[in-house]
Amino acid sequence: MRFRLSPRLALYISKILPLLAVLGIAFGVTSILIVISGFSPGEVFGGIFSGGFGSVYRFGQTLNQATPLLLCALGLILVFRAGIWNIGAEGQLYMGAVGALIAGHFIPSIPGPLQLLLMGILAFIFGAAWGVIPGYLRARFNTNEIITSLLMVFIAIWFVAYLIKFPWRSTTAAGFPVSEAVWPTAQLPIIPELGAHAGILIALGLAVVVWFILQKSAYGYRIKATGVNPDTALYGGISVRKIIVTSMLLSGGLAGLAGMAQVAGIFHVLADNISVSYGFLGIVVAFIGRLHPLGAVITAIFLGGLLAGSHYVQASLGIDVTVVHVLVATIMLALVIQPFIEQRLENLFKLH
Amino acid sequence: MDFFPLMVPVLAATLRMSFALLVPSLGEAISERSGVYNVGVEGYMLMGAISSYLVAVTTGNLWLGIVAGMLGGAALSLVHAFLSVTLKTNQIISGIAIWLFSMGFSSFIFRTVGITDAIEGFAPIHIPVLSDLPGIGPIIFHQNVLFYISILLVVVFAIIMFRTRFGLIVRATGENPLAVDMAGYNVSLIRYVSVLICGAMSGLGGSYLPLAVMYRFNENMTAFRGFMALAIVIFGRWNPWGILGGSLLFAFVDALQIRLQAVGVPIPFPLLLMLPYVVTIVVLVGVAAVIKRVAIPRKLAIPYIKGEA
Repeated sequence: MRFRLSPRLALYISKILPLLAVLGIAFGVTSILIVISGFSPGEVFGGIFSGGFGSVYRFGQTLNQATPLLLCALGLILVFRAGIWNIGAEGQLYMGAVGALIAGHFIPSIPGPLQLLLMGILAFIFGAAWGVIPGYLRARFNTNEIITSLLMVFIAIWFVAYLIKFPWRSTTAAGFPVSEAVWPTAQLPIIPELGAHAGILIALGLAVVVWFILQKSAYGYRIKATGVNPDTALYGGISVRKIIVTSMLLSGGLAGLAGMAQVAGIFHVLADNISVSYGFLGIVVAFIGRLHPLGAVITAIFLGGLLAGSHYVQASLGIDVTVVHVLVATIMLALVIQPFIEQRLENLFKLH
Repeated sequence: MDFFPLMVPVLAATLRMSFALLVPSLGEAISERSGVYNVGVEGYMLMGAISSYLVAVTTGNLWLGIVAGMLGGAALSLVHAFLSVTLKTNQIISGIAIWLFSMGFSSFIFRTVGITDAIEGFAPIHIPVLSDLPGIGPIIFHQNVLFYISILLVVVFAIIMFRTRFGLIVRATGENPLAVDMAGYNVSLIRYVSVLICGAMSGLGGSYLPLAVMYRFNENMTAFRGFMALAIVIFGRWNPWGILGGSLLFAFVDALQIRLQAVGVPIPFPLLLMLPYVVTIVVLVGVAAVIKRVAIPRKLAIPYIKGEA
């Protein structure tokens, strides 16, 4: 079937309609669950929005949530653009947190900026090391990086569990097993008024860096060429193997920085709950952001608002956390589908 | 520690735990052979687990629970099929989003319905002569009926995949969907069917956990077995017999690690829990390094656009 509409109208429809439709389905499905739980969709959605964006302080919480999302997503953008599927950002985040703790606790206290810099470097190295393993295995043995990186997530999580329950267990903290705390100098400063830690600034700065790498550097060109067609890239003289390894290094390193942000900015210890699937959510953020740093920034803030708002709504309304998980996942699903529906509609209206 | 007394319970546990790895892997193999990659197998298993538990606990009928589990998994896989085959979205992202969704959704259903009773699930059956054989009796012939069904499923899948026209068409779809299309078959329908089979099989595998292992439902009780299934499919080279071998291997490592914990080996338990995953990676690398000829379906995870090669 081919419809004939005025091109302008068809363009608007094909761009906006899918977005409205999929978001509508997402909100619709979640509303049903909310009603089943005994709440009203209005108060839940309203609560989430106001919890995420309702005040300057709450927006600060949103930014805190957005920071690890954005950092992971930036790394994933690099690697996805090259056509490598790093699903292990979560594990790289945890290993980065390990590195951050080493620099923030086992190294004696030194002036703030220096200690934070050291934490960042070590977190990057640890995350990069964790990421380069699946990358190397892919480059050398052609093993499926989806599975290797994913399996390494679980290894990393258990490794952290081991560290905080055995050798690095805190003797002072009561209750949950955590590591010893980092020095006060190893904590990210809080931005006044907002209440967000400085990690968001680091993340935004790195977003610019990643943009620069992708758009303005020869390396970025090689990444994109590899992603479009590795064989053609190889023919054109690009060492695809090097791209695979280096992009995984960078991706793991950025995810490691996300771990550092969690340790230095929020928790100030190493714990097994420093990440609420930021690594996996980062995948979705990168994708919804169309694999562009600016898109990732917008999506990360949006999702950060959803997450922060969901904490607020749980506390104030008492709604179960799983409903919020479903809401977030459904919205993410909807936004992931949207471009493809857009494409189909464009085909329908014979637009290009 | 005597070796033999240690191994008997470990081997018995291996076979008992193999179902939850083997059956989803068989389903995923068919789907991947047709060209669709289901990263969300873990999600199908979770939906299968919660569906089968709730039906079994309310009706008291385990087999109805099994059917419900398969339907639950299949229903979720239908979403993935729609996204991947009709909308032609990125199958990896779709799979991850579906997995995240099902984690929350299965927990939501569990908490909302609120039933937490234990059920009398599948118990090991006693076969007159065979169960009492020394050594291998307690291991092989003292399993629950589902285990024997899973072995039967391996044979069935092998026959279907390699000895039937349906299997041939499915395999061809993953290698050259254009040719299949030109031959007059509906590529989308074939892929939908194979994804639904994967969903049903994964749901069945997920049902095993509440019905035959834990006898209740725990949130996220699948413990990432769905992702191990993805690895098992590769390790088994998309072949039911290889998948059987892979499932037994990973179930063995899992059973061993549990046993070592119970026995009190002086290794901290998180390190033991790491073991199955480390072994999986080592095995994957070993397979890739040793076997040079690649068996991956050529068009795996690549949507078929009508008329394009």
